[in-house]
Amino acid sequence: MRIELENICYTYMPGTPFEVKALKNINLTIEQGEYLAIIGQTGSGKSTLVQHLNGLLKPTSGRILVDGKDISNEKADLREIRRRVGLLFQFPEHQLFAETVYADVAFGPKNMGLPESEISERVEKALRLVGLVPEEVAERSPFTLSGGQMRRVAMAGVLAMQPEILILDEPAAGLDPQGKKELFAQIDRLHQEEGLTVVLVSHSMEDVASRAKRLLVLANGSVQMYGTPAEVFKDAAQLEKLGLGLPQMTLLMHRLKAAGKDVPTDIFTVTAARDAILQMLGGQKR
Amino acid sequence: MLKSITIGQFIPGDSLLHRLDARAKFIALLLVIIAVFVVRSFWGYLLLAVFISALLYTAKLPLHYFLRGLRPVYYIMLFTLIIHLFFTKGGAVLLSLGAVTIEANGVYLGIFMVLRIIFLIVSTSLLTLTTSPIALTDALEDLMKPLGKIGVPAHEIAMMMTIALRFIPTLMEEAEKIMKAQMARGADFETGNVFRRAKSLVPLLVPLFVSSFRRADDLAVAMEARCYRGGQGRTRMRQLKITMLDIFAVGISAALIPLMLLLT
Ligand SMILES: Nc1ncnc2c1ncn2[C@@H]1O[C@H](COP(=O)(O)OP(=O)(O)O)[C@@H](O)[C@H]1O
Ligand SMILES: [Mg+2]
Repeated sequence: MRIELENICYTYMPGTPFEVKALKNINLTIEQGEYLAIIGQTGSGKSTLVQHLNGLLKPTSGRILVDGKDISNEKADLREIRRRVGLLFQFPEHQLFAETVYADVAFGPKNMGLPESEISERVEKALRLVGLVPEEVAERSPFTLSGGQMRRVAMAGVLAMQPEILILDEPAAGLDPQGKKELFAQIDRLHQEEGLTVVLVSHSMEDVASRAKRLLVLANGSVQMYGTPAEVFKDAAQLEKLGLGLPQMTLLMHRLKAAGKDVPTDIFTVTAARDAILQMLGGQKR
Repeated sequence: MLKSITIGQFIPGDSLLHRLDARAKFIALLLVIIAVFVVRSFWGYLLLAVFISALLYTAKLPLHYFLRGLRPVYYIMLFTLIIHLFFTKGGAVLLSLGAVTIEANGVYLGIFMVLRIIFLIVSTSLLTLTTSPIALTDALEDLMKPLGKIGVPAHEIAMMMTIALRFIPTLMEEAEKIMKAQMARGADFETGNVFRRAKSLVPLLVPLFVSSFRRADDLAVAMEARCYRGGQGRTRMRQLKITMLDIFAVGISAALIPLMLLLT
């Protein structure tokens, strides 16, 4: 599926002294199968933007087209859109409510009106996808789990609806480095193996640079930069100004280049940086 | 959706009314309410209307905030008007349809009663719209202090109110966020009969309670970590200060009551 945003504006509490123009003239197309990261400082409008993608918020002006159909249309089936566009909120563990993990994950499929046998199949699959063992956790109360496990259960709750697009709003917030690594690995796997379109919201370049195919940089509710990571990182000064900066390894490569070394600059991970530097050193010797 | 529920929402500003001491405003409001209850004549109503309109002008707030405050009582006003129209007798008969008559006194009383309701709501909104909840509870605590002598825990009551008021917007925000999260999973809070709807609230209420308890716990720890031990010997960051303006405001409001009694 394909989601197009055309000149989206959104204002919180319009006509009051508390009015906030959270989004200004956003244009964006999310294609089937892509991996998009939305980056910006806290308060830049990331969460507001993603809530438009499944019709939870209606734009103050502008249009949202899902597969070419306008979803602000009265007749649009929002529930169907919400099934196809899975949205995992920030701190999703705060939305758990059922007595058992099973019942919580089954909430979405139940709302879809699926038969019991299909529900249990989906719950099991979703739990496995997020790295939990169904036999161990299914009958436990979600409130007895650790924070990281609760977050995975919440993620399973969204995956059990088998969405085509998975949107994650700061999924790594508050996780320890290990948990973070595992979570991102799982998301990458969902993208590669299950073919999910992924939209990852983050305020950290470090987390998204190496995995997303495209970056959308938001500041003050408008799009500042948009393109592949390599394209976006070309303008390091602009990123710095937006309070984001480059990933450390990219920064290193930029500095080396500035110092006259012959290195590529589209490098985001330590491994890639090591290879590039080794090649540079080797190249000089010979 | 939940944002439309506003409980005495404060609108920051810099008008004369905003700058008055909250205690003065509170006492003035009580006096105006008494005046609204003792008003007896056309001239009294006119004077009150002029007085409250003047205050509305001074508050420098858009009128629709006040109209919004009236919305919940539209039906009460309508009901009052109708009851008086049909059941209050006396004076000239204005209209008669068989056994049902509408008489002059009914019209007067009906209109006056509705005016009273409007005066009450608007003057109360004048206080809540121009006074921050914190200033309001500070004022209440200060005004209730004398009651401490007869065992009323003034500080504790005020602290409970402060905390409750402080967390109302937080809870609303949280409720909205959880609601959206569940809607993203296909929950439906809007259709179905009473039982279905009550049941559909479980996925909203359980997380809301869980987070409220967690918040309460955090708050208690944070307060104890700062050695909170109740009102004894506690000083204030915002000192309340009475100015000439405050005395003037209370004076004018107090003068309304004898005026209402005199204007017959
Ligand atoms: N429910 C709301 N009511 C009013 N203002 C809001 C609400 N949610 C967000 N905002 C405001 O909108 C702006 C964008 O917020 P948000 O989309 O949450 O940003 P981000 O997710 O990038 O941190 C901020 O200025 C924020 O204060
Ligand atoms: Mg956010």
